[in-house]
Amino acid sequence: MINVEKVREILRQVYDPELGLNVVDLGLIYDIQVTENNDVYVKMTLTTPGCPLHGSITAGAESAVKSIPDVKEVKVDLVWEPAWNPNMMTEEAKKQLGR
Amino acid sequence: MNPSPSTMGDIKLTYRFILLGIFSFMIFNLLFFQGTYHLAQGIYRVNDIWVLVHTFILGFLMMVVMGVMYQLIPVALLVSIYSNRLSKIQFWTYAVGVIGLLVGLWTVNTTWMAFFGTLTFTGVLLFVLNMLLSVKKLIQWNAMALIIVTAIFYLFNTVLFGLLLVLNYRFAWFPNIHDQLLYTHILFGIVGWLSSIIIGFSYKMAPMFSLAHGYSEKFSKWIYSGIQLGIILLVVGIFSHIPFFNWIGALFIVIGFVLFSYQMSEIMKHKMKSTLDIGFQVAVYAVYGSLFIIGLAIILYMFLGMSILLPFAYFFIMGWIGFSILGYLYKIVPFLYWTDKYSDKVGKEPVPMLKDLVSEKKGKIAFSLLFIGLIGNGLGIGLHFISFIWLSNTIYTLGAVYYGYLILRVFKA
Ligand code: HEM
Repeated sequence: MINVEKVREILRQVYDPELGLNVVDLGLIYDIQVTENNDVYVKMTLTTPGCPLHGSITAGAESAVKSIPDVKEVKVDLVWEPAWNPNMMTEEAKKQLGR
Repeated sequence: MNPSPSTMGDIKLTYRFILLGIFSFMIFNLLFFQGTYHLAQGIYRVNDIWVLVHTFILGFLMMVVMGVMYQLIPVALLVSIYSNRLSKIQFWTYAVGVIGLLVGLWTVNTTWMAFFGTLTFTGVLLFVLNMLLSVKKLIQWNAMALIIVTAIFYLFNTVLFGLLLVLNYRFAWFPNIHDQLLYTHILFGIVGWLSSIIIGFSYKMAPMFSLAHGYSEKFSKWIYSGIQLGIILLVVGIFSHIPFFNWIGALFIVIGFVLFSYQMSEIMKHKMKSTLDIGFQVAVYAVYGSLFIIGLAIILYMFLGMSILLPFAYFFIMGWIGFSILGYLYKIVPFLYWTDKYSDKVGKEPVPMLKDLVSEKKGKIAFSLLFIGLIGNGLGIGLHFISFIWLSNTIYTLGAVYYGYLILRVFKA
C-alpha cells in the first residue's frame, strides 16, 4: 500500500547538500497526492530560485519516489508560490541550523 | 526555471581555469620574495612589480573569476552560456596571452608586451562577448544583473587601457597621457571590475550561503550609483588634474562601500544558519575589512600623506579583493564538484554533503596563516622593513600552499 505518509518518509532521504537537511523538514514539500492507481503527485518549492544544487533536489525527489515499489507515474511540480520562508521549517530543522 | 546541465558552462573548462589560477597563485608567492626589495622602498612602477601585480590579478584572480562565472552566470541570472566552444577558445587565447605578457613585462621587451598584450586583450574580449551574448537572453533585469553587466563593461575597459599602456611603451602613441591612462587602468580594474563583480555576486551568494530571508535591499541602488558616479568623477579628476573631482569621486566610492557593508550586515542579521562555513565567513569579513582599510587609510593620510598609498593598495587588493575571492572559492569549488559528480545520484544512492568534501578545520588554519601573512606584509611595506616582509611572506606562502592543497584535494573526493 502506498500512501502519503510513505511518500513523505522516502522524501526524508532527499537532502539539501548545502544545508544538510532533508526536503521534508526544510518545509519544501507543499503537497503530496497518491491516486488509486498508485500515481504520485508532489508539489514542492526550493529555498532560493535558481541554485544548481537545487536543480538536483527536484530530480532527486522524483527518483526517490520512483524507488518505492509499485509506484506508477511520478510527477514533481516545482512552484514558487507561495514563496518559501524559514517559518516553514520544522522545529527539528531550525534546531539543526542552530536557531 | 533551473538551467538544465546542458545550458551550464563547460565544467571541465572551469576546473582548468581554477587549476591554472591556483598554479599562478603559487608562482605569485615566489615572485613576492623577489619583489620585496622594491615594495619596501615604496617603488611600484618597475617591471618586477608589474609582473607581480599581473600574476596575481590576471593569473590568479581573473582565471578563477572567469572560470567560475561560466558556472555562476547561468545560476545567478537564469540564462544559458552563449557558446561553450567560444569559452574554450577564450581560455587558450587568454592563457597564452597572459604567460607571454608576463614574460614581456619581466624582460621589458616592448614588442612582446605589445604582442601578448593584444592576445590577452583578445582573450578577455572573447570572454566579454560570450558573457554579453548570454546575458542578452535575460528575461528580467534586477540589481544584480545590472552590477554584473556594468562590471563586465569595466573589465573590457580595463584591458583596453592596459593594451593602450603596452602599445604606448612600444610605439609611444600618446606619451603625454601615459600616467592618466595608468591611473584609469587601475581604477577601472580594481573598483569598476573586481570590486563590483564581487559585490554583484554577493547579492546571490551571501543569502544563499547563510540562508537569509526577509532582509531589505533598499540601498542596492545607492551602492551602485555611488560607485558609478565615483568612478566617473575620478576619471574626470585624473584627466583634468582638478583635485576637487578626485576628492568628491573618492567620497562617492567610499559611500558605496559603506552602504555595501551595511547591506552585508543586514543579510547577516537575517541569516538562519548560525555557523557559517569558513570560506564564506572569510568573504564576509573581507567586506567589513574593506571599510576598515578605507577608514584607516583616510585617517593615516592626514598625518602621512601619499606615503600610505602603497600599503593601502596592498591591503585593498590582497585583503578586500584577494580574501573575498579566496573565501568564496573555498566554498564554491566543493559546490561545483558536488553538482558535477553527485547531482544526478540524489534520491538513488547515498551522496555526501558539501561539508564532507572540504575540511573546515584545515581551512581555518590556511586562512589564519594567510591573514597573519597579509597583515605582516602590509605593515612591512608601510614601514619599509625588508626582513620583516620576508618573514611574513613566508607565513603567507605557507598558508597559500596549504590553501591550494585543500582546494585541489576536493577533486579527489
Ligand atoms: C590586457 C591586459 C592588461 C595589460 C596589457 C596590462 C598592462 C599594464 C601595464 C603596461 C602596466 C604598467 C604601466 C606603467 O607603470 O607605466 C599596468 C599596471 C597595472 N595594471 Fe595592468 N594590464 C592588464 C590588465 C590588468 C587588469 C585586468 C588589472 C586589474 C583588474 C590590472 C591592474 C593593474 C595595476 C593595479 C597596475 C599598477 C601596477 C604597477 O604600476 O606596478 N591590469 N598594466
